[in-house]
Amino acid sequence: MWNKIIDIVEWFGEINERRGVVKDFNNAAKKAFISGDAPTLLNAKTTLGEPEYHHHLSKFLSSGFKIKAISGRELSKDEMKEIGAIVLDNKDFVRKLITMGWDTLYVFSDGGDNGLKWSLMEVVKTLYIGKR
Amino acid sequence: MKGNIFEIIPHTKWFWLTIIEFGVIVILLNKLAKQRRINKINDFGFEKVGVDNVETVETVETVDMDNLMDNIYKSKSLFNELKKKCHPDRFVNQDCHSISEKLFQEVMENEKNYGKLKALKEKAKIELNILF
Repeated sequence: MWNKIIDIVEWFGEINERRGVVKDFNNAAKKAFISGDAPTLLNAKTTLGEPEYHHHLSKFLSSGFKIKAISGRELSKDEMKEIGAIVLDNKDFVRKLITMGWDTLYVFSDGGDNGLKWSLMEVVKTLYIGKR
Repeated sequence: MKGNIFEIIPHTKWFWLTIIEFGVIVILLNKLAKQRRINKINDFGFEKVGVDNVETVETVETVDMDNLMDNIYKSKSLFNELKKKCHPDRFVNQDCHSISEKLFQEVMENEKNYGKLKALKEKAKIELNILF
């Protein structure tokens, strides 16, 4: 019984930690936008992930990390690709996302349903293995 | 008429409460099933490690989100600048040709890392006497 209570407490702790990552990302994006460094405001949130990208750490119904670029216009595919590539290039961040239960990275532009998606596990397998 | 409204409100309240309760039960059952799966794996001969024997390690390190934003927005322009100014062809038949080759290689390897590119810019200023 005590173990179950500990499990539940840990579960809530994980949720807080996940919320913290999203909050930190959004705060940094806001800071960059206000200071004028960023022409677009990025906003991250947790969504449903792609079922085919699931791994054993994936969280139920909340394994997608969605970044939306609020720029007042639709971003081109190349621009979205670049944002995704830079996020995925940050090994620490990707590893953190995987360990905390995310499996899919989405990048969407402002307005429209067009976006790009990446499997975080595939990225780790193809880009990082062998590169240290 | 008044009586009807007071009859409807409690029903809808209970309906939503039941839905929320059902959701919590599903999530907890999912968690329990996951735990059972892990225990099953342990039953197949893997040694269980006591909690006291495991050193507490900070598994998830904090990611510098400001640096991530700099990578997204500032790295491209700085990379293009460094790529042009540190190109080895600009230092042909000079003493610093080998230094520029090394520096250029490092710039190409850290295309999306703003922090590293900034450090390389300082290095270029000192070692190649380039004015930015």
